[in-house]
Amino acid sequence: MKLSLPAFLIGLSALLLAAFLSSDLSSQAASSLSQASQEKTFAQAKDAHIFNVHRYGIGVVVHNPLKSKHFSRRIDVRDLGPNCTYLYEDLEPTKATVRVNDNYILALHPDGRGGLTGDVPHSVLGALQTNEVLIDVYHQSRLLFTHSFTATFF
Amino acid sequence: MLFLTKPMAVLLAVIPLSGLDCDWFAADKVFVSTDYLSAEAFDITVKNGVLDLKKISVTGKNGKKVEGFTFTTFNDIDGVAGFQDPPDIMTSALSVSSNPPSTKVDMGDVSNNTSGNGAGASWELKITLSPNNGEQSVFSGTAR
Repeated sequence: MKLSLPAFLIGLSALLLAAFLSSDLSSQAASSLSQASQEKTFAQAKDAHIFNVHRYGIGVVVHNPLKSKHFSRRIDVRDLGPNCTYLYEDLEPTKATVRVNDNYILALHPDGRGGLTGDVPHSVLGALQTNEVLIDVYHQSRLLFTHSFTATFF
Repeated sequence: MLFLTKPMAVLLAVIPLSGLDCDWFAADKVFVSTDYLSAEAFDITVKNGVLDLKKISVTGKNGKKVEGFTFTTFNDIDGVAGFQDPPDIMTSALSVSSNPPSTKVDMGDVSNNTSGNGAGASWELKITLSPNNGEQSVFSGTAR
């Protein structure tokens, strides 16, 4: 049987469309399952995960993704103020960058309250893996600390 | 993923996450690094709100040595960063020390529910370096 060129092209398009839809649905199914498990675990916790460096009076907060748009990770870097215990250098966080799996970098922006904020989009987080997420917090050009969220937040 | 069928994808999604309700993760990570120390947590597991760590290691940097450190878990009552008793309720506390001070000090088998007060969601790591001029390096946060 000899197919005409238009019929061949239509058939080929249908096959490609079916393959694409199958792939898309499969990805969505896999992703949504792991996301659901991840979010469920996070939801058992409080509203946010917190990490404080008392020496500089700086705290890092990852908000519960269930409270963020599209399950992105809202990250805040806060100045804990002069009353923080074990404070030796009261420094303001002026710059912070978040690295995700060594292939995505997010620079946090000022939040207008002396801190920094930004969203790690859910799309850059791997669905089937533990994501390696690091934050570098600076005062001016001085790197104060690097903190890994990997074991606790993602 | 082009030729991955939906059932296959679901299976792949489920296999590495089986039992996730009980075991969230296991990880070895440096959880903080500064110019004067680094701290690592090894074999972290969280099971039904109970946190277990096989080991915490603290390493001094740039000539600093570690005299010791204390890892405390607690239920945070006052909402203020760090452990303050009262009003915070301690759920576990472990200390290690090194005499003479050492570049690296380890603590093994850490859990957040050893005191009978339940599992504390907050933690504090208080490190004494040498020389220290009386200063202690303190980190705190939530454990889950």
